[in-house]
Amino acid sequence: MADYVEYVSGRLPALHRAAYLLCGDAHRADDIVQATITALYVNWRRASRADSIDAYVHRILVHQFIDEKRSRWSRVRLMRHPPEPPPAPDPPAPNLDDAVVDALRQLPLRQRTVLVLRFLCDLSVADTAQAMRCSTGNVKSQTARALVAIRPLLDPTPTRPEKP
Amino acid sequence: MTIHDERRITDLLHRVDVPASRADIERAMADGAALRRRRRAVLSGGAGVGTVAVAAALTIAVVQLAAPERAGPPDTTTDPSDVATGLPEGNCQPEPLRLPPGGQRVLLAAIDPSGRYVVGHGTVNGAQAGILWTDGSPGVLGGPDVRVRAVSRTGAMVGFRGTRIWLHRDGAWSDLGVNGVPQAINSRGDIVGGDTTGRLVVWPAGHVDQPRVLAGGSTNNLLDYYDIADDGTVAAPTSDDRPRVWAPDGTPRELPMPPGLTGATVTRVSGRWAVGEGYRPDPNLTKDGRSIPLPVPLRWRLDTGTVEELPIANPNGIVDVTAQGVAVFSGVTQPVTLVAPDGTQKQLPKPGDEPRALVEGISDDGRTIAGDAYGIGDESIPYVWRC
Repeated sequence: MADYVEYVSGRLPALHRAAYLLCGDAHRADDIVQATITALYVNWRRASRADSIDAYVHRILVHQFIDEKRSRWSRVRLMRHPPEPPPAPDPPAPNLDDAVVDALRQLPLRQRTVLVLRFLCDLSVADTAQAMRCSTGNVKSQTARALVAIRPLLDPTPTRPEKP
Repeated sequence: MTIHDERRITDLLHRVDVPASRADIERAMADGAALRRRRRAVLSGGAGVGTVAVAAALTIAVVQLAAPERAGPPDTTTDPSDVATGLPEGNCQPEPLRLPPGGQRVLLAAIDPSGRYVVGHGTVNGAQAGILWTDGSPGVLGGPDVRVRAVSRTGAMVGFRGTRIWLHRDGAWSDLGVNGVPQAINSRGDIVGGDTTGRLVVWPAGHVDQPRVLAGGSTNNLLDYYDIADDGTVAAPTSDDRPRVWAPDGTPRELPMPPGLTGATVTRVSGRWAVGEGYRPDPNLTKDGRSIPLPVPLRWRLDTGTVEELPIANPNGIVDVTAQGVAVFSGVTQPVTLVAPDGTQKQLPKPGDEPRALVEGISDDGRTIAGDAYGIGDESIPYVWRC
């Protein structure tokens, strides 16, 4: 399984970033990624034959995210053993990071997911549609709506006149 | 700072400072190997369905919470609400739902139209389990671990395990012997959902081997809602973004849209009412001249064929409607809100210190609302608001 280890080792930071931006919480992101790479191991033979392993893995990741968020059914807890003493706290995140993560949190789930898959994970419309189990048209409309929705969340200056 | 285009959001997403990952590859391989052994053990035991379930637990997209079935006409003889507005009286205090012993990480799936039954899924003593609250009292569903999707007024539940649809009735799960993902069930036992080829289907009660395909429907969309009323009327996403419901015999019925909308979908039906979401082009064009659709919350009267926009600034979280036409919304940045047919609004108290709540459903009389309260990064807590 050297190819599995090599692939996961290389993709772990990106998977973690995607999970973190989807759920907005580092611990939950750990759980999602752990469950994702576990599932990937089980299905590695199939995954390694897929046209795009990245697309395959992101499908798993999205499903794990939805499971974790909406049902907790197949959740895998990362911390099986007593946790190590916590490291020194990270320095406060820059305001930009807070703004982006908070803005993503405020988006509906579909819009948040489509932004992360399309613009962070660089999935095609077709692969995004497959990961989200919806039509390509749905991906396009959700993308358009997400870009509009996130704009005022990131910009404190009103961009459109108030409705009368 | 203004987000102008896709390039800008791409840049932002890549620049966010993300905490270090603690995922463990060796642990994943060990757990994965154990799962493979379990899969082989199930295979050698001849339990093929169980094998499918194990595999599906790892790969299936479980993206849809159950949509509770809706009732027929309201029982006006016991109408407890404000007759003028349909809004429930009282202050609708939220109460956390009691968990069964050993229960944790519970997330609600649905509430039945009577408000008596609430279903959810979580872990009980470390094992995955479905949970049914009856009049607020929790009970753990025994038998196979079926993912519960919906509960009817009679207490019948529908869910899936692997690719198969299961029904819980008279205290036990039974495999209905058909493949698909169920989304809602009515008191008659009719089930609506998607079949394995992606078609919108009704499996009639007692004749699940004779599914009825609903033309113009769409299925398996992420987090869309579906509904089937007690008379068999269905609401579901559509393949062409035109709002429609399906009559009990499967005949599609087109519904109107307010002027200027480019599309809409119906999410829930109850009696003569339906709710959903439409899309209106943004009058402010993007830099490259495109007009992007903005969501608009809608409510229809099915008896008169009329539609209205609801006066909600942020329609994210439109969930349900009562038999008297009271729409309930929730969103990540706004309190749970009821909107009466005459436009009167009622905001429900926040659940404890939790900053946000996601409503899963409202009873037909509007007096019981079920949902999950979330803190940031915390476990959710199942709540009911009783009015």
